[in-house]
This record gives sequence, C-alpha cells and structure tokens, in this order.
Amino acid sequence: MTRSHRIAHRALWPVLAVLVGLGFAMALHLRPPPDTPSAGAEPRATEAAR
Amino acid sequence: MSVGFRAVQWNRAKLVYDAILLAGVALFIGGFLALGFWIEKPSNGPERIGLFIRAFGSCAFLMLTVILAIGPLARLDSRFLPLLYNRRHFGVLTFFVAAAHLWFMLQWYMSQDLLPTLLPELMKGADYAKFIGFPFKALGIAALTILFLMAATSHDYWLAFLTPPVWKALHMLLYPAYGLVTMHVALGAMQSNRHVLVPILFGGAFVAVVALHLVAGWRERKPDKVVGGGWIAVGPPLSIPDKAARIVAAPGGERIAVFRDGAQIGALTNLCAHQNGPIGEGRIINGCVTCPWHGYEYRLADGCAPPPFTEKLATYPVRIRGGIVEVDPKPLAPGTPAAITWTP
Repeated sequence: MTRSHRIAHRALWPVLAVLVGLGFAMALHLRPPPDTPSAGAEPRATEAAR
Repeated sequence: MSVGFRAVQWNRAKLVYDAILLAGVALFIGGFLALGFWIEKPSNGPERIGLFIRAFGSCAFLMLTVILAIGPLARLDSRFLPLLYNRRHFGVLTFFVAAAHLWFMLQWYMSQDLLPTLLPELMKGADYAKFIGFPFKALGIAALTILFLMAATSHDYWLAFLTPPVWKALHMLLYPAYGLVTMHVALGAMQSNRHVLVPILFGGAFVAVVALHLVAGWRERKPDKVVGGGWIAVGPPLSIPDKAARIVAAPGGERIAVFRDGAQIGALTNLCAHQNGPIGEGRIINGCVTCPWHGYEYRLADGCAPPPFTEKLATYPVRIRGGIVEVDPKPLAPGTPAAITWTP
C-alpha cells in the first residue's frame, strides 16, 4: 500500500469503529421491548429482514 | 484506449481456493436453512422466504467479516498469506450472496403483492430523520451498490486501467460498506429478533475486524518513521535476513525494501507493480524477489520481472559505509540496475 493509503486506512478504522460502535450500541439500547412494535419501523420492513 | 493486461491464468491453488469457498457457502446456507426449519418450521410462503433472506444475509455478513479480517491477519502473521492470494474471488462471491439476499427480499414482497409499497417505503423522507425506524434497507442497498462496484472492477483489466493506487482507493470503499451492513443489521434484524445471539454475533464480528485493523495499523507505524534526508542507514549487511528484506521509510514517507540475497544487496520500492502489494514482506525465491500477495516476481539486480513479463520496479542506489548498508532515498527509473555485491 502507498503511504496515502496507509494514512487513510489508519484514519478510517478508528472513525468507523466509533461511528458504528455508537450506532450499534444505540440501536441495542433503544430496541423496543418484546411484543411492542417499534415506533417508526415498518412492521413489513422488519419482517422482511428477519 | 488500451491497457497492459494479461488474461487470468488459472492454477490449481485458485481452483482449490474457489472450491473451498463454494463448499463453505453451500454448507453455511444449507446448515442455516436446515437449522431454521428444525427450530421453527415456516408455516407459509413468506416465512419460508424470510428464512432464505436471513440465511443469505448472514452468510454475506460472515463472508464480508472474513474478507476484512484476512488483510490484517496476513500482516500480523504470514501464515494467513495464502488466504489473501485469491481474496478477489471471495469478494465477488460475497456480492452474489448479498444480491441473492436482496432477490429473496424482493420475492418476499412479491409473494404478498406488496412490491409496489417498497419504493414508497424507501422514499419516505421523514423516516430518514428517525434512528429507530430508519429505512435500514437503504443502508443495505448502499452497501450492495459498493459491493457491485467492487465486483465489477475486480478484474485485472480494471486494475491495469485504473492504475493500482486508484483501484486500491476504490476498493477501500469496502470498509464503509461493512459499517453500512453492520448498521443495516442493527436497525433491521436486531430490532425484530431479540435473541441474545444476534447482537453478540454481529457486534462481536464488527469489533473483531476493527480490533485486527487497529492492531495491524499500530504495528506498522514503526516502519513509517522517517529519518531525516540524505542516505538512510539500514544496518550491517547481516542485519538484513538472507533472501528477505528490511523496510525503511524515505523522507516522503514511501517505503523502500532493502533485500539481501547472499552477498548481493539491492533496494526496490516496497510497492509491487501489480497491486501495490508490500514487496518487502516477500522473499527471494528462485533468484527473484516474490511479492507475498500474488507471487509477482522481480530481479533484485534491476527490479525487472523475468521474461516474458514486463513489469518493472523503481530501484534505489545502495552503498556500504563503515560496515553499514545505506540507501539513497531518491528512486531511479524503474528497471535501472542498482544492486551491489557485498564482500564480507
């Protein structure tokens, strides 16, 4: 890899880790309780991805 | 416009790699479906299709995770290098598995005459302002588009046409694609399926990939430390392992691989002409410096690939002063003879 690729690589992963880590943790924390449809999620949409 | 390109040459290693890949995918999807039917038999068509959606989606996520782990693993331990060799086939197959996931999703809508509702669902602007309720399918579609771009340009023709630096930059889009896929799962499947294994497996896979990349990046900081201008001291000749290299950084930050083949010492750019692979992490095999990524070969004396191949690497002048090998960081034209013979 060229130097610029290495620099991009080293910068990208920590940023990705923080963004996705936060997003994932929030998605886990804000999950609707069982038997309650989520506030905004389309039932059809979630059903399709199950 | 034409580019230097040779047709793909199949060999036994590639065929075995692909056979293992296909068998692994078939085994995973078959096992997932069998387990799904055994745990809770789908009672109708859409439920059956839903199981296929989950099987192909999980398989694509696992494949993406493995692909992204191969790079840092190979840098941390050379025993993983054989996995890197044919990684592009792995990537193309991942695209097809992910595309099948989308195709089953469309089937799910069609089986209930709901297909016309899909586009309005994706176009509902207000949902994009929500966190829970965000149209997670859009994240999956964005990731699949990136995978398509990468699969479509994975061939060596595009590598030669775009040049290795541009091609590599384009293929680094896989990292954000992995983030998109992880959030696609977090805002989609994880919201409807409350099984404890869902966040553990998907979140754990993401954490493992990130950790591997961070550790590999951290370990690679040292060779990038630039040491002033002028000739760079590498060390005594015997500090360079026989038939291997020590890597130093030029003032611009690019790396130089200083090889020793017995008494012959030569310096080449650390970038393989094929895919910018780390040539300095390779070894001298049958008299040629061999790139660890795809086996491209170059003569140490002048950086030229042996005939009939035509690739050339930039070389660097080397000298020995006071028993220390030094390299001039100013590159010579690719293919310029520059190696020296050391007399112990």
